[in-house]
Amino acid sequence: MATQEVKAINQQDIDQFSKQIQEIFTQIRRDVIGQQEVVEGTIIAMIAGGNVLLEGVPGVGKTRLVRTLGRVFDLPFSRIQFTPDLMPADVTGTNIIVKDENGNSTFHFQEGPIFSNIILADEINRATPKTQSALLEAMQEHTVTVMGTSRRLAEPFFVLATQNPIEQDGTYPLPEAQMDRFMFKLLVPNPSLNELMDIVTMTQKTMAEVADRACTGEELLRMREIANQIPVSEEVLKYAMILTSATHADSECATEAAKKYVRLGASPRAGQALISAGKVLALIKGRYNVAYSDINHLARLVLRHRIKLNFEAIAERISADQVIDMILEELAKKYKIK
Amino acid sequence: MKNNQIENQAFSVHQKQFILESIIKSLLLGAVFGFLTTAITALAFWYFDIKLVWLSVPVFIVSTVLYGVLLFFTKYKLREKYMARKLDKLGLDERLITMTELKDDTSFIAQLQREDATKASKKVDGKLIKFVVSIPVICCLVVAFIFGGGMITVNALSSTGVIRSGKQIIEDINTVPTQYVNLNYVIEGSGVIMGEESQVLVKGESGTPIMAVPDYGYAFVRWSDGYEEPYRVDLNVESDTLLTAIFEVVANINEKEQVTDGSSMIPVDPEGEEGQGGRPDWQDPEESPDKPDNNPSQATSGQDAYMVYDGKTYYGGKVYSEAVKDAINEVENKKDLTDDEEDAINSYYNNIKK
Repeated sequence: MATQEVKAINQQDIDQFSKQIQEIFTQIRRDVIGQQEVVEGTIIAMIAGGNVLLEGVPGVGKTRLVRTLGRVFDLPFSRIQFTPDLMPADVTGTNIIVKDENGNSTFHFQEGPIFSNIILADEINRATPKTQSALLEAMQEHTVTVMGTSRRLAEPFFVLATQNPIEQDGTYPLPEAQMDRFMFKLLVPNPSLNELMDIVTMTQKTMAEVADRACTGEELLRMREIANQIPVSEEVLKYAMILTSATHADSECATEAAKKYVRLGASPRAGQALISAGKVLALIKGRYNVAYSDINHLARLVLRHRIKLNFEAIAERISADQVIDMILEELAKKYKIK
Repeated sequence: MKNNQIENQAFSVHQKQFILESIIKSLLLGAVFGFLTTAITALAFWYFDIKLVWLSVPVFIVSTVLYGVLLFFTKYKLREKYMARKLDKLGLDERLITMTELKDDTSFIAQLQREDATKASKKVDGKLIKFVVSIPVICCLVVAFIFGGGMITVNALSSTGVIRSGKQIIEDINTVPTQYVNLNYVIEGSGVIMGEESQVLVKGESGTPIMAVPDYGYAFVRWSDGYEEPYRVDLNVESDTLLTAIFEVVANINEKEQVTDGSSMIPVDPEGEEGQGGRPDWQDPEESPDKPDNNPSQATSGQDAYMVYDGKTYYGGKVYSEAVKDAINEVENKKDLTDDEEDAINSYYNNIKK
């Protein structure tokens, strides 16, 4: 059983979780119109302790969402606008020479914008791979090492990166290693007609963000602890691992879709993400166990940026989401999962 | 409330249906074994020719029930995980399977999960639980039914004498089959084989008598195995045998010349009539001085000649039919023949006649 022994939880914790999650969604909806899946995915990732990559065309509310999250969780928020000339030190910070009281020059570490709780890495794929890589350690280890000295980042630490579709000019595709460090990749669609009308109506009144605090950083960490204790049956755990493995064309669980369209399958981090996020999703739904439906619901979000399609898929204009759907369909037939 | 009590509550609502399913499945698979047992019994009855066809029915019933009970308490014994999986498919989102795995977990979240699962299971409509009999079981049942039914039918037919019992059939199969050999006589040159030229004999048996008779202008020389008598009976033939009667042409027959092949001289008279001056005489030529010099009988001094001349068969220097008549007369007139001599002559005559 995949439960982790931490601080014991009680009924009050469960009630608190339910109450806070409701409040979080309510407050976010005050500032962000529509984008239900994106908001839900972001909240799940935050509670589960993962980072999120948002992909969408400019102007669909990506940055606004991140700012709203900062307000809702009442956490320090940094925004890094990635540009081609941005340097790693601009992200992590660097040692600068300062003079002390005695007039002696000493090195003093000047923290970069990464030293915050919520990081908005805006248009991350416009920076060079070297600068993109500056985020790797922070995203995975929650530490930053500069000049041989490692510094721990404040918890909760959450990177929310946005990127324009890579087909656009002046973009550098993120390396696989960095992609893998994002728990979810969320596609931010253009708003529907009704949503667009609501957005324009709302912003005509005021551009100010009105969302209030729904919980603190500490409460967010507690929510993570509670979610971590949600049990996962061996069958569901196995299914999640099979799903991860099924994205590999050469694995023992390889599906026909993977064999045909996938060049590189999902890493073990995908399996971890499916389970961690599945626990949060189950709890949000008011359930105390992870179900197959939770894994299937999260499959696209977790896997779409972790699988590399081959030439055949590109030639046939098959998207990663379509391949994932095919894999899920095959597994559903094989394991008789509804 | 204790964990077990909560779990029992979750499953007890639908337990009757699961028991019914187990009974049906046990009986179906039991019937497979029942049919097979019946088939084996019927097979034994048929083999040993035991005329107890009616016994197949009680054998089937008893074995089906026995196997059914055995399967109910082993393979189809009610298991929580099985019930949990089935109920979870009715929209319980793996609540029950998780609950069964958390059986021994006393943590708060595990208790909460159990209560949630029990609560959810009560909302499930039990009528939606599907009883699925696997295709392999159905296939096995059909095959076993055909096999069992077929064997009972065979047993019934055997009992009524329509077909033979297995033991009889096996005995027949084990009997060594009769081996046959071919005995063939052919000719080389011009002549005929009198008698059965091609004989099929049981291995070790003797063939029927035959005789090699040359055509006009030919003379019998010998058989391919070196035997020099035209008449022969092959005894105790053990393998396929092919014997060739060798005939050779008689030279200058029209000029009524005598031909000497070194050891035998064969005279012919093309114009001679049977029984008259021209026909061959089988007796000493000195006793028939009026016959021409080239009479075939003249060639028989010290040698037998076998030939066909002018459509007549000469045997031992005499026309065959005349020789037969003479032989009959000899037998009839010479009353002083012993019984053995008479039998020998009759036997010879009969063989010639064949």
